[in-house]
This record gives sequence, structure tokens and C-alpha cells, in this order.
Amino acid sequence: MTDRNIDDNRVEQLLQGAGRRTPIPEEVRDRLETSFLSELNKSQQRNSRTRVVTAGSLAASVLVAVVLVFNSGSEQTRDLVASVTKDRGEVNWTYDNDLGPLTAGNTIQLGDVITTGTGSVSFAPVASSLDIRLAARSEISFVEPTTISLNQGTIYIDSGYIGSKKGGEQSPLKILVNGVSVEHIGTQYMVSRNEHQIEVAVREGEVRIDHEGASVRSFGGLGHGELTQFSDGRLVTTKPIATHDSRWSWAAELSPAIETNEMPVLDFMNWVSEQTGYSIVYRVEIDPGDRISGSVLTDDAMSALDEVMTISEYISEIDNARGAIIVSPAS
Amino acid sequence: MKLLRFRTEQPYEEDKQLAKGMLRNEEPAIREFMDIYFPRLYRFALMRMGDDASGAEDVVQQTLVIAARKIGTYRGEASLMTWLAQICRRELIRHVQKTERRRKVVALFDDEPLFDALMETIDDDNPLDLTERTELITMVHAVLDQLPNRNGDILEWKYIDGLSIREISEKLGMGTEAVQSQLARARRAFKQAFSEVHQLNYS
Repeated sequence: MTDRNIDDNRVEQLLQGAGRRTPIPEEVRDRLETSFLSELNKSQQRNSRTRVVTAGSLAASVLVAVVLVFNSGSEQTRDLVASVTKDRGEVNWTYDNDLGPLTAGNTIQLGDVITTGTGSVSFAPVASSLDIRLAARSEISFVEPTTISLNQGTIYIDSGYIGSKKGGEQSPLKILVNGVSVEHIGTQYMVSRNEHQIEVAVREGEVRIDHEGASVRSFGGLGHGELTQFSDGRLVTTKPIATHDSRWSWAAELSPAIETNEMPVLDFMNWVSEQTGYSIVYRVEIDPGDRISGSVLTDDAMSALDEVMTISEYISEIDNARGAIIVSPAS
Repeated sequence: MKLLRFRTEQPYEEDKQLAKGMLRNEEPAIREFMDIYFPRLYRFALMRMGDDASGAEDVVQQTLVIAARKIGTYRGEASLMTWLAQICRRELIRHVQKTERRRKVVALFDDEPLFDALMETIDDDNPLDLTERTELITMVHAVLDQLPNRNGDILEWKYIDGLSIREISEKLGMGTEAVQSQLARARRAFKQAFSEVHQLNYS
């Protein structure tokens, strides 16, 4: 690596030697300006419409709450069900019969239909601290604040990650799929639906699967590392699925953002493990006091790991056969 | 306690304020955004598309459409240019996939040996050949485009266009003393950009 000082004269010399940067042609700038301003205007209108409708919905909910005050105190938030935490690529929502792009920061109302094209998206429901992720080419709608109808594609539910409480303390969430309902019991799981069958895969914890009110499985649950398939409400097969199976990888790309600054390295590695499904094998002793200084800029677990490794004294490699990320000394 | 160190986090308060101003539909903020980032994004795309001007325009247009939709999600965790460049990179890939053509992709700053060789041969008595010079010019331009706010423009106006401090102050609507101070900051930022990218220890 060169270790050369650049003084003011060298700056001047470099700049004069390089000459002017390529200017943007006027006509190109004009065209870009037109389309940019038009989109910015549409975006501002969309945001203001979202705010107005939300306010209207809350006002309506107050009336509902007055009527139902003896029955339920939770009706006040009936209409606002979730907010979008991350979006990747093409995602749309249908809102008042109007189709528009869905991006991080948007709120989702009861009855909204969310459709992913080539992109994927994650939500934080109002009723719980769950993390819900929707894969590409999927469609869902919130039929109740805690019930999602999966119309097609794949949905992933994570009941929590490092720093949050898991399991029983979460509000239950139910996924309805063509007469089958899936409820989590503190877990990470995925439900898929295609034309012919429904698939439920559990990465961690357990889920309960019912079909028209009756438990599909005699023991009432599906355990971690299991994948089960149904057709017409009947169990077709159950087989193992590794926690690092490639079918989970799209969900890892929607890992929630974390603040790594001052985070213990071991906690960070555990988070990577939770998000990717790989176990961590240490070939180097990491002191529990070792911490990360600074924030990662990338937004998925594997990229975050790469980023941390580049500034650490360690290297990591994936051993797919063992389902592990091996951490070794860099030298 | 041992610390693993990332590059020091930088506050991008001015970029955040600019984004907020755009969200509030403030015309000066929108105008400033277009003045600063349209040319930078255009060059960013053009450089990576082998000078395909039409393709670069398509990519930048799509990038700006996405930026307009998502500007509310910009949190100032990176510079606005970095944020825009991330969107632009994805659009470049999509464009290449769509057109099914392999474009020349300029891997700026990725090729450290090349950069080192260029820095070694930069002395006047060891002139660069044409290829090296072209690469160096590309790098200098890219660094100018990465500088925050209008620092790149100020350096270009002063040292390439030869504008006086007064002329620059008129362009920016600032006092001459403020411009002088801004120019000093721009020079520092230029040096720092090189040192950060290549982890050189400039004094």
C-alpha cells in the first residue's frame, strides 16, 4: 500500500490534470427533472393520503370503541395492522382498489392486499413484536389484526431475535391458508402455498396446524427442523428440513436492521446464526468482552457478517455439509 | 476490552436535512438535490456503462424514480450519494440483465495494485502513459463526485475552471469568507476521500 502524502499542491495538480467532469447534457437533465418531479409529487400525495386515511380510520375507531367499550378495549387500533420495515425490489399493495408501490415506512390497514413481484418485504405488526417477511411472487391480506390470509407464495414468521423476548409472551398470529390455519408457539417458521399444496416448515420452536378447527397432526404441532406438506387439508408427507436449507435464504435477506455499535462480537455471531440458520463453529477463542465499534451499513445477515469480518482479526467460511459458519484466525 | 473498529461513523446531518426538505416539498431543497445529484448519478451510471449515454439516462431515471418514492426512508446512516449509488447499482444490474448485454463495469477503487502503481508513477519526472492517465482521471472524477455537499463543485470551479473566490461566492450566494472556508474543507475532504478509500496515512 502506498504511503504518500497529498498536500495542497498535489490536490491542485491532480485536479488540473484530470480536468472537468463530464457534464450532464441539458436535454437529459430536463427529462430527468420532469420524471423526478412527477414521481416526487405522486409520492408526496401518497404519503399525505396515507396520513389522512389513517387519521380518518382512527376517528372511526373511536366510535367503534365507544360502542364496544364493554366488550373489547383493543378495538381502537383495529384498522392499522402493521408497518413496513424493509422492502427489496418490486412490492405493491392494493389500497381502496388503488394499486401502488409499497415501501418501508408505509402503514398497512386491515383488508389491504400486499403483492410481491420480484421483490420481497417485511412488516412489524401493531399487535405484536413479530417480524413477518413475505417472499417474491406472494400475496397476503390482513383479515384480522392477528390473522393473515396467505393467498399465494411464501410467508416467514420470526417471533424474535436477540434482545427481544420470545415465545409465549408474544400475541399469537394465525396464518390462514385455504382452510388450514397455522399458529406459532415461539418460533421461526415459513408457510407456502402453491396451486396444488400447502407447505409448513419450522426452523425453530413449534407450530400448531389445524384444518377446519381440527388438529391436523395427532400431537397438534410441528417441531423444529420439520417440513410438512398438505393437499386438500390432508397431510401428504413430513420430512426434515435443515435450518440452513436454501429455502430459508430469501428470509435471511430481510433480516431486521441491528445496531452493531458496541455489540459484543459473540452476540452478533448468535444473531447471524439465528438469521441464517447456520451454527457457528469457533476455531479461535473470542473474548466475551470483544465488541464491535461502528455500525454495519448492509441490510442482511450474511453481508453484515462479511462487513464485520473485514475489519476483524478473524475470517469466516461456510461449511454447508455441517450447516456451519467456521470462524478462524485471519493469519 | 478489545474493540473491532469500523470506519468512524460520520454524521450526515446536512444530507438528512436536505431529504427532509424534499419531503416537505421545499423548492430550494428539491432544486439543490437536482443540482448536486443529477450530474453525479449520471456520471456514476455513464462510467459503468461503457459510455452508453442512452442506457445511463434510463438507469438514472429509474434510480431517481425510486429515490423519489423512498426519500422518506433515508436515515442519514450513509451519505445521500452512497444511498443513491446503492439504488443506482441495483438498477444498473437490472438494466444489464434486461438488455442481456455485458457492459463494461468500472471497478473503481477495487483494484488496489493498479491504484498503487498509479500513485507511484504520478511524479512529473515519471509521466503516466495514456491508459494510466485515463484511469487516474476517472478516479479523481469519481472522488470529486463522492465528496459531500458541493465540495466537488467548489474544487472544480476553483482549480479547473479557474474561478475566483468572488465568482464562486456569487454562484453559491455565499460570502467570500464562507467560500474560502468551504474551499479549505473541500480540499481536506478530497484528501480524506483518497486516504479513506485506500487507508493511506495522510498527515
